[in-house]
Amino acid sequence: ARGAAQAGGARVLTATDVHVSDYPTVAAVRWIGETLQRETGGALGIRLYHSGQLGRESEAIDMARFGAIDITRVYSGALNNAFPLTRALCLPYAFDSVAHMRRAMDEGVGDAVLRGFEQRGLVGLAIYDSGARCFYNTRRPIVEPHDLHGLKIRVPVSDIFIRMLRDFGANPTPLSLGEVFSGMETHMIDGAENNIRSFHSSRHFEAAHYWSRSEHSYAPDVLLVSRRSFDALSPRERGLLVETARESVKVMRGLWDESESKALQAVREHGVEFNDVDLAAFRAAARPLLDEYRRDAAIDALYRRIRELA
Amino acid sequence: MGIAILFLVFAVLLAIGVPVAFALAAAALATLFYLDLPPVVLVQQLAAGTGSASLIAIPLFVFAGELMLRGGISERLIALAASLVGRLRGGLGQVSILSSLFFGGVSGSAIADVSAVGGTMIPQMVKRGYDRDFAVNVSITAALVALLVPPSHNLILYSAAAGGGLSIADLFAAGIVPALLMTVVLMLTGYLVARRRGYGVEPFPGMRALLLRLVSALPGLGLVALIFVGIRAGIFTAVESAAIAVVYALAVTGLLYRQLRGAEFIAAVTHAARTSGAILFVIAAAAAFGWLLAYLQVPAATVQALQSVADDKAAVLLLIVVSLLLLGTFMDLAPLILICTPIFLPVAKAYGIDPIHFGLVLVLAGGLGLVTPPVGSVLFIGAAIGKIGIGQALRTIWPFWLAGLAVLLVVAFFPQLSLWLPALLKS
Amino acid sequence: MSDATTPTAPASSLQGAMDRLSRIVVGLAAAALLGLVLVQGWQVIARYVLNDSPSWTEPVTVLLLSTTMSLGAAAGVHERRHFSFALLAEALSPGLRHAMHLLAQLAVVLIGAVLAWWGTVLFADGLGIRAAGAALPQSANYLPMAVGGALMALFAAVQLAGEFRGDGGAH
Ligand code: NA
Ligand code: NA
Repeated sequence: ARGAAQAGGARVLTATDVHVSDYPTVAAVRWIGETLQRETGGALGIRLYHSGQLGRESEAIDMARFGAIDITRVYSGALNNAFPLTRALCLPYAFDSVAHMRRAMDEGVGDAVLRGFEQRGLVGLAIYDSGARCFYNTRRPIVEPHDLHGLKIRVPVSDIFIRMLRDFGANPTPLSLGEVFSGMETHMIDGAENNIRSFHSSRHFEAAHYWSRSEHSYAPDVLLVSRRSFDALSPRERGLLVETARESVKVMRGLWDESESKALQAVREHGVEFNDVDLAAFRAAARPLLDEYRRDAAIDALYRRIRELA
Repeated sequence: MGIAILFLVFAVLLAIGVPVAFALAAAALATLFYLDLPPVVLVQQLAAGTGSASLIAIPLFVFAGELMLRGGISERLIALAASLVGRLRGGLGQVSILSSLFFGGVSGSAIADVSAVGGTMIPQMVKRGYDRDFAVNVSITAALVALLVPPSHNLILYSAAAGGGLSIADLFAAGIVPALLMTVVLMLTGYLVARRRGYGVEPFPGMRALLLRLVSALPGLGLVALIFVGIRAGIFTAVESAAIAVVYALAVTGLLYRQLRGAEFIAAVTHAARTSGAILFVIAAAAAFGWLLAYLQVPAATVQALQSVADDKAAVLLLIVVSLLLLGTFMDLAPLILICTPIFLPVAKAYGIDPIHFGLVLVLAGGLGLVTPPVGSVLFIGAAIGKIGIGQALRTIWPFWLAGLAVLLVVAFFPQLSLWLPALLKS
Repeated sequence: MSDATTPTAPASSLQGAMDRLSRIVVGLAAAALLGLVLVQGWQVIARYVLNDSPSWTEPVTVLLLSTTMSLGAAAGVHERRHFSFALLAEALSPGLRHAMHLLAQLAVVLIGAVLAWWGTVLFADGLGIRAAGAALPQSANYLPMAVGGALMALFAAVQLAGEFRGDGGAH
């Protein structure tokens, strides 16, 4: 693209993210851009549009596929239906811990999922893990799935999450993220689920005082580049981009861990009550959903590989 | 160059009479071609422009307003209001402003507010002899109150765009005094304009007549109560309340008043569909246009230009306000907040401007753009409901717009006004 | 914005057909609006009465909103209902004004055609992928856009042809 791509003879790749400027994924992509620029003597760089300036994630995927933008960072949950392999990463209790998640991504599972993007005009660059998703609510500590009964919990519009919440006995309520805060304050909904960093940055802790460590999903983020843009690069640039993106995972993880502990401390200071859950009971409740998704041979193979690395 | 093409094509097409929505879309298309970007972006962004939940309130509230108008609810509500405030010049204008404050207390959006309040008030004001332009202008500027009085989803959006460091409770509290100030200033303006235009006063009809009107308006007041309590109690969202309003209005007008017959029902729904189509399409086209503004980094260029001329806090604040007013001319509020917050807030902070205070300034300055052409969704909705041209509305909007601007400047240069209440609530 | 078409010449059969088509289109937009009321209302009822939030309401709402917008806006082209300013046109000689007017109509035809073409491309592209939460293709809301765009182009082209012959509409 002329406007962005040819700034003074240099090629500039456009990248989008819905997160704010200092979010770990945004910082990681910025690091990629700086590295590319250094390595190519300024011939290749990245122009970053953070904070959702160029639209939501659902649109970003298609914009990249049609070549309107070059690189985008999206949440894997938004990719489940178009890219079936990403389902394996979102399934409840597929991963036991952040360490397990990272090990699996580094040892084959990540590459397998990334290759799956090629069927629809994209090239998978990296998988950024984004912590464990847990339940938070305005009512009570959630210890067993039973404690979710009758609670209206906001979920992202994702078939896996909707089904999972239903299986746990909650009333999954699709609501746009912007309405969640007011929704909890007026008790239209009782809670939501997310990672601790988003719990902090969305300020939802001002309304919800119970954080239950259910760790029900580790659904990560994915960094993608448009196939068209990728093919337009020289072989050397392609190799450099792939390699730099791979290295950026370490950068991202470092920033993530740092910001996660800051977020944890901030919400703790605000008086949010933390509790452990009966993980065995939650795992059992998630069983039927897992079994159903594992009927797909490709997903099952990935799932087995993930569990081998536990 | 891309920026020049975007604005030039838009201006030329607008001038030769291309409807606003099509001029926005064509300017976006021409710029996409110039940038060598696929035209498919235009269609994607048009779709994305209507993909947000809050826009559903537009067709639904316009529909509810049509039903209330044709089925006798509005008439009775206004008869009651007229007997209460009839001795005040331009009394229904005041009712419209107060209703906006009231409705704004449940909805976070100026668009929902003007659809709901304007949908009821504008036609009735016209019926009672007010000029259409007055009815439209008083209602659309009143809708700005909804942006400030909590809940305000625009302030939530601001908190998110700021990276989450800002308390939503503080932002909500900060909006209350400016919202009340805006209400008072607009009511005063409405009074002065009404006096100049010589709008008549209505005699007090007597206690008996007042009571009769009250009883007859009760079902209509029930709708207001239902929406207010329903949202406050968390039974439904502001968007869902619009559907509830339609169902309730159907029940009252069809079953209780028996004023709404099949033909009027058909007329109400088809008219609402026509009006909504025009409004939604221009909002969608503005989203595509805004996408290019963001892509071409216009806000960042603006702030750069600004920093090169301003040096002290007051000058920076003034220039930020001016830039936001200019950008708000072309952009809708939500994208404006998303795009400008990460660019403007660090500058504001560097000059010692409190981020809570800045949020109010940003939302209010961007909000004023909602009533100005060429891209002003609240203006378009008001004009469509009032059945007047944009030009006709614009010729007489200035007293109200200037009143809003005055409030903005006061809010911008007296930070205590917004920061006092949050501090009080904390201590 | 002006009121619905009041042709100066007796309505030709083509004009009559366009009027009928426009009425059908408005009817569909109105039906989608009624659908919005039902879906949003049902969402509230299901949440409280059944304590179960349906997940299909969001994608269906977006589809219905897109239908109301696209078809309402298409009929708006026929009925000349869209917001416009025409600042320059008012100051010009009748001949120039007519030329400008034709040019303006051409811009509407062009945008309608772009919507129709790329709307169809986007619709077809996502046809095989199911939307989250509902048994709908992910790209369902591009269908009304494509149809609406085609209708916009058609209505504007018919007006353009009529005005080119000088038999109506030049207001
Ligand atoms: Na509000
Ligand atoms: Na504007």
